[in-house]
Amino acid sequence: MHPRRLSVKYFVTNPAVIDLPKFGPVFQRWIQRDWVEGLLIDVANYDHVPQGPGVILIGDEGDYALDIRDGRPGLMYTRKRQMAATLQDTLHTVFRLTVIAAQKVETEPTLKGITFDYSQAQVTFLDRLNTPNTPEVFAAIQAEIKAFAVDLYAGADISTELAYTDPREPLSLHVRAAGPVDASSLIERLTASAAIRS
Amino acid sequence: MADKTWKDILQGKMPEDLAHEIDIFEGQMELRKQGKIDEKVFAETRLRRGTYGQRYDNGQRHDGIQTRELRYPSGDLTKGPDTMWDAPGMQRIKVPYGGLTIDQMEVLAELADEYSDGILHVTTRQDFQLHYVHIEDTPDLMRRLAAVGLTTREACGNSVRNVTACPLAGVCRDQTFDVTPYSQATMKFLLGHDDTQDFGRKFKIAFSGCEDHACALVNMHDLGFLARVKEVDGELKRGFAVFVGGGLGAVPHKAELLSDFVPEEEILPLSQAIARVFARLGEKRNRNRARIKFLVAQLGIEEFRRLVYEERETLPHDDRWTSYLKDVAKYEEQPIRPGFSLNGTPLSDDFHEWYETNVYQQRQPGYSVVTVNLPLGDITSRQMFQLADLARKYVGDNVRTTVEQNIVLRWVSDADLPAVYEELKAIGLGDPGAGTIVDITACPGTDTCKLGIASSRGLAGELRRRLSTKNATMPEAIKQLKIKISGCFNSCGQHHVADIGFFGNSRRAGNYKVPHFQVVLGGQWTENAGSYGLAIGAVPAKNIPDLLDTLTNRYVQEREKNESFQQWVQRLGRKEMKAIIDPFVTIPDYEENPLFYRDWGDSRTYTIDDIGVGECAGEVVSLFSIEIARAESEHFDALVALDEGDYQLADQRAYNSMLLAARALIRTQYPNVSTQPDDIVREFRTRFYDTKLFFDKYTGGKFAQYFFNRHENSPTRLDKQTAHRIVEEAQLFIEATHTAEQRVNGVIVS
Repeated sequence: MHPRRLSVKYFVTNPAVIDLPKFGPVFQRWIQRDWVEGLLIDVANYDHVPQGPGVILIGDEGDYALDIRDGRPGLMYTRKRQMAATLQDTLHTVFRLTVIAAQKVETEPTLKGITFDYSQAQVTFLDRLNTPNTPEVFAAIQAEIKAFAVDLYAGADISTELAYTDPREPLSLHVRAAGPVDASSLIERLTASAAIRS
Repeated sequence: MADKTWKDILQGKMPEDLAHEIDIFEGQMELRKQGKIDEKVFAETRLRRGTYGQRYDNGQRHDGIQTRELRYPSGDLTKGPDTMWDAPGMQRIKVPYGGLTIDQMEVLAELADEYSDGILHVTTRQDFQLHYVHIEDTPDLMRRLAAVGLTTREACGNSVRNVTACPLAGVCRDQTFDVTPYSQATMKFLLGHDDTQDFGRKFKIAFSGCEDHACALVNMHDLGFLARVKEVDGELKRGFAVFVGGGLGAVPHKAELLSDFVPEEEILPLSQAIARVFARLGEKRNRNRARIKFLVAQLGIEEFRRLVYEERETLPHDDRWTSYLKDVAKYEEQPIRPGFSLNGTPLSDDFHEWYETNVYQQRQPGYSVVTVNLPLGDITSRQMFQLADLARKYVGDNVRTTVEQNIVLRWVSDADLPAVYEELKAIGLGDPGAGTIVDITACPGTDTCKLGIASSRGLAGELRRRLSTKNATMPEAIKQLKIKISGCFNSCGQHHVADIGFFGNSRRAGNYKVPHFQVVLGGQWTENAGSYGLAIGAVPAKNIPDLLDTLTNRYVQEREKNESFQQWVQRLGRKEMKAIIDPFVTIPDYEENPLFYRDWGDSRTYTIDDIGVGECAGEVVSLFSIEIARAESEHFDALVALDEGDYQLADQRAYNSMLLAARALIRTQYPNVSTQPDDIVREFRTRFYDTKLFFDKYTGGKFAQYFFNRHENSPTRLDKQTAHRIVEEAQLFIEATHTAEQRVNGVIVS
């Protein structure tokens, strides 16, 4: 069960400080400086759309976004192309790029100290053909996600929950790790693991 | 086990012809990847399936500091000339007469999630567009659409585009009759028809149920049908007044009346005959003069009419011309809820505000049409699912898109209106102001369009934000105005038919370019786009919001009793309008205000060099600025002469303005050029046309041809239409001269 498109989102802990239009210039600067991984193409601005995709840094393999869907702003990376051979490898890549991007957002001086909750991620499978939002697929995917998360969060207790019960919506899971988590340790583990995988 | 595919799953659910078409396209994609199909052939194939290129698909983008090469994984593989295979593209989806079913809404939502960026964009032709789509996703995307009866076929390319119709057709209080089944039949008949495959350019058709309202804007269409009923042999017979040769684009043309009554059984054969005449006699080599409006203007409506009726006589009979008529009588939409009146329920102030602008009482008692006001025509995939749920509960499949980039729910029981409002509000779609000044229409512009010059969506977003905060206290006369914005002269935002229209252009200031918008005032949306606005002048993009405040305040203060904006503009005249915008044309120095040199919604220092040919170094050319200003002044006088009905003078001044603009450009290379017209034309041709220095990447030498044509052919018959055309062409030539000067003499410090 390997989706053709997959996203991971980390939620903002202090949404009151978000000034969405400020993300346009930040993402433009990321393009200028190749600040994040991937072929970066353009910025799409949907700050006029309530609870929409927000501001998106459009890339070739994947998009980075300050996403405001579900009324819960977060940094989201969506992998669109060049998926890895296995779901575990894809999860690994997508989590790594999401955490790195979120950490960069936290250090952006113009974004007024936005911070993220790294103990909770939303993983969404944007492929209704291979990973429809059914109880069977959820059960199968849940096991894979848990296995991945246990590694990522260094053995912490992991809980998962279906994000959308509406079967028309894409299959999406909330993944939570017990206890506080910091971005640096996640990046460290993901980077070390990436070296082994390559 | 091989992975299952959409093709396998949807087998038998798609109409056979569409399924076959998609298979062919997928095969052609494979052949293109193997280098077995030429890129130009593949581009036309792709466009005829609605699969467009998008900005920066040439593999370069200016990031605000430098132009960067975008190195896509497929390397040099292209999907058309200068169009990289992997570059994100736009997929247009046809929605005939804007009619949507709940199933279709749900599939559209899925596609936006899985292949695009989560946004569905409603266009000014009642289509949907998805952006940032990879070409290799398009066959499955098309299959999923086909399975619910939607197609992308002939959504682009030189073909019959989406057939539009009034979104109130069938429920309008003033309609002659419901045009829906006729628009549907026309779409089905002409889609993929042999006689519509050899056009030099696109062909747009619209159906309108009445004369007075905006409805389907038949006056600005290649082919427009206006519902009429006529007594024949003592019986009332349905038919249409038929209009041809209208169009906006760079030079707007109002359609000509081909026939004041064509009986219903004749509209399909007549359309076929028109298509044949257009395919046979329309321009093919010069695509800039290939729309049917040029053919109608060239032949004259009488000769065009004669040719069409002559062609009609030669057509072999086709049962499809009339077979649909048996269903027309039976065609009737059904509400899913009983039509009860709205009574007794206590209602909030915000409901009243919404009701005033977003609810239209249907001709059927107890029912209303609700307009869902979409900001800039955008709706998220989640909202589309939620709107589908709302439709399922209250109206069933009675949903349509509009040319004002909104969605309407028809057959809402009046008793349900408060609940519908609350539910729309809960999903972020309860904005009031539909059809008012805050409901701004804008084409994609520089956000995604390859031809965009200025950010129409950026400006629309900024104006919408500012106007929304003032909406409650705004005088009614201002609320009723319409604003429409195009990113370039091609008029996709329909700026010619707005009270206040803007189209993007650019100007040089020192060593920089500055995004501007040409201001077009007093166009008419009603009476099916009854008349076009007056071009007043170009204003820097960053000054447009302040100009809008001034314009609307002046209108409210100075209008005579019940005087419309259009009448006010006409009464004051172009000179006075120009005086209003003059204080807004000043550009501060870059050092004083660098933000002025950025477009709305874009933090990069403005440039359009990444969509054109490269730049080269040079000096600031102040002489050009002075001399081109003289050309603009002469052109303005041509406009005034046109307004005053002096067509001879308008033509002469327009021609002079082109000579002055050409000379200004020549003098950047050859200061000693004489003032003799023949010398100017010769030098211009040698230095800028033959060398292609004047050529724009997308329009080529189109605007230079306007200049040469006028120089070589003084008009023998100078009526209003001819003079208007020459004045419009002169304006475009001057704009192109600005652009050419920027391109040739370069020096953009960004």
